[in-house]
Amino acid sequence: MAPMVEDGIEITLDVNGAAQRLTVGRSATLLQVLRHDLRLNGPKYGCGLGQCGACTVHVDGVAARACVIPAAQVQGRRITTLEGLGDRARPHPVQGAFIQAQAAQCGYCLNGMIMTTAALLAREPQPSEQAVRDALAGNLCRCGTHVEILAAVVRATAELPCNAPSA
Amino acid sequence: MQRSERLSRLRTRGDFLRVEGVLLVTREPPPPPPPTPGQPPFIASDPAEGVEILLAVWDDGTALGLNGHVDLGTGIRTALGQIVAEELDLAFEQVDMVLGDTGRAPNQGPTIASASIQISAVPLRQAAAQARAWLLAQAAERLQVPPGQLQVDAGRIKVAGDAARGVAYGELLRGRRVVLGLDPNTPVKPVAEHRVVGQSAPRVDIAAKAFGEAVFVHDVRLPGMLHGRVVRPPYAGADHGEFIGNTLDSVDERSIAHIPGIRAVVVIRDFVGVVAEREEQAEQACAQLAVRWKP
Repeated sequence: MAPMVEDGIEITLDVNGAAQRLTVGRSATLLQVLRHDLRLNGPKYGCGLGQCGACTVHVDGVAARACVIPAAQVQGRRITTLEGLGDRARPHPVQGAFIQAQAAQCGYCLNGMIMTTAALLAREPQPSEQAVRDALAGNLCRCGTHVEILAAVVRATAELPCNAPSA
Repeated sequence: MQRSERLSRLRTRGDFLRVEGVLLVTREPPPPPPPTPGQPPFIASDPAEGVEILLAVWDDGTALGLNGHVDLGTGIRTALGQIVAEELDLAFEQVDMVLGDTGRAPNQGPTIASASIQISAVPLRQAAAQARAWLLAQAAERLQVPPGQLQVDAGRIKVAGDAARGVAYGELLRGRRVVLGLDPNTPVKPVAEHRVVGQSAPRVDIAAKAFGEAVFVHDVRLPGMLHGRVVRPPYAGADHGEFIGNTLDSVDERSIAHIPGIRAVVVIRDFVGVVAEREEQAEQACAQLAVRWKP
């Protein structure tokens, strides 16, 4: 039986480069639509209050908290999830750096750490350590992997194509 | 059967005991340990499930270890794989692990107390050592040399000083089904000879997590799955007193009649929960359900 969406509205979302036509409830968040309707496991449900960062996605390239964004309000915006950032065949430099640096314990926060870092480096390719700490201050890791995560961001910065030493 | 196919097709202990081209090390389910204060109870094994499978060595030269604990990010999937590779003299990449799968893995109780490596890895390590000893004895017979003259590298058994003579684990198992009962007295490899254990190895689970491929328990979706939320009582944090379980005054289900998709309001003394077809419906109901608590 399809879930009942009596107050449903039809929307079209641009997710990872594909147009998705959906009927969603007025109270549905972007996170709920990504996870339950589009079955994407990258963005995680953490606090549901926009405070932990586990649900982070990019909206028009900017890191945003999908758990507090009504899905109906991001029509026409470009939404990117961890799955759309890169995959094994074409990893984003930040994904590669987090794997190389082994920057995870349980990994539940990893989506938010990677998506926030990728958005930071897109606007500031050579951030100071303080800028990295500020950008990730709202991403919580209960395992305590912060030191490895900072090392991963340093590694990712070095591996950005735009930061490669010119030949 | 392909290596990846085995992981998906062999779902029960019985499935393992029906395939060919394998060496299995099994054990009778041990009796549950005595209860420990403050620890969750250990649920005894169901005898109908049969012997526990600790290890399988396949005729393609790979091995599969099974362990009852789960990897919560501590890295035991990697570490247990290292232990199997070490005792069997396999390359780390030749080892797969099945963890915490109640249909297949041995019943080793809850994953707690830093016990995975120091306690629950012990029978797995013994099983791998026992499998290696059996394979070497088979090879010695086939090659007509004493087992002491044999060396193993990545599952390839060779006669020392005679590189041309040898046999692979897989060849010894082709068309056979060998089941060994675990012998806990099997000697394990001396620590001084370790080459895999004790070395840092990259965690095998991190890449899948970095690409959004890993399925956490939160990501499990079942057909017709419903979503729930709990309305908490006003005494969070306090854990004793007469008021526990006796503080609910009333729940007015009409207060959420306007929300679609509500399937149940569950009230058991002070436990109040809502069940809905979609998560946002359950969240809305949790926020709007009129619940009165006694002062």
